[in-house]
Amino acid sequence: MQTWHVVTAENVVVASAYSAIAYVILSGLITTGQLRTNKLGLATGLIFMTCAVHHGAHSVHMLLPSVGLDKEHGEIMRQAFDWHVAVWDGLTAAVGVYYLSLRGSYASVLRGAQMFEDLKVRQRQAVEINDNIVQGLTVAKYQLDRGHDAHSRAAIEDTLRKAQNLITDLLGESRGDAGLGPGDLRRSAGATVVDPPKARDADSSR
Amino acid sequence: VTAAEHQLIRVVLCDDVAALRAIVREVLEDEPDIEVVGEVDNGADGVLLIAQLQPDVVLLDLSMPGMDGLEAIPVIRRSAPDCGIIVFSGFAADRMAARALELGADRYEQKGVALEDLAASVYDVAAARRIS
Repeated sequence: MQTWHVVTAENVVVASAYSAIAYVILSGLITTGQLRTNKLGLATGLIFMTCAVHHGAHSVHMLLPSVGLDKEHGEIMRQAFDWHVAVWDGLTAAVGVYYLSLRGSYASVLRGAQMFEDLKVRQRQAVEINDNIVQGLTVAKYQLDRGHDAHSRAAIEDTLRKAQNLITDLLGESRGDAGLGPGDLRRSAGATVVDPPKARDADSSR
Repeated sequence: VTAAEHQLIRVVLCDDVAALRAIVREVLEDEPDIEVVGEVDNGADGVLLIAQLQPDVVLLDLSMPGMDGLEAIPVIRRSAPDCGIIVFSGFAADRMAARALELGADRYEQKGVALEDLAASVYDVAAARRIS
């Protein structure tokens, strides 16, 4: 077996793997309606697609002389691809197949192209936090400013309940793939909450 | 002081949170020169009411059902060109203000701003619109 045989086979594998990855990404973007909005996802899909064509073209060019076509260029390419290229193309093929196998093991990712829904999800979560938390706290602050303590308390209690529900929902979304385990809720630093002025005064007088 | 300068500043509130509208209405109606002439809880009704009433100022939320604030601003700008638009939103100003102003809003106030500052904004925007 000559080196170009190996390189040709490797490039077929790379082209196939990259084509499959590009298909998964681009079809996911189309299915979720993000083809225009998710530019990073689109660019990633196009990179895989163009690389698939590039590697596929190498294989085709090296195979053409075997069927009597474009012998001159094909033979030159066969000679140009030495064992250095074979090693790198082998690594490229391995990485491509490994990447594809990782994505294939997450059915939900393949179904919804969720790795590219991050932006949409974050925007939706921001709107929900605004609607449920910021609006409620704003009402509570303004009620307090106006001296309506009872209304302010009601707004705070309502907002607290909504915040807890929102957090529960967000945790629930992540539970599907990973699940919360020991250590997942460990924080880099303790939560900080501003001390009420009266409590600070009482503490300092002790 | 001319008669025109004594005219009340007519304000429309466009926000989906009823409790917030009630407080803002209460604050603005404490002002001697401001009158709240209408309020709605969504952008689609907001643009219709503003076209109908031609208020001096609208306090416009961004996140609303039906039509959001960013969609509503250009529509209001066309249907009520003399109306001052104050976006009053919970989203941080450094992320949303530039976009809102670019679409035609006159000012961006982040929810949580002192209520007296909000009233001052209504005066400022109304005055600027009347001068222009």
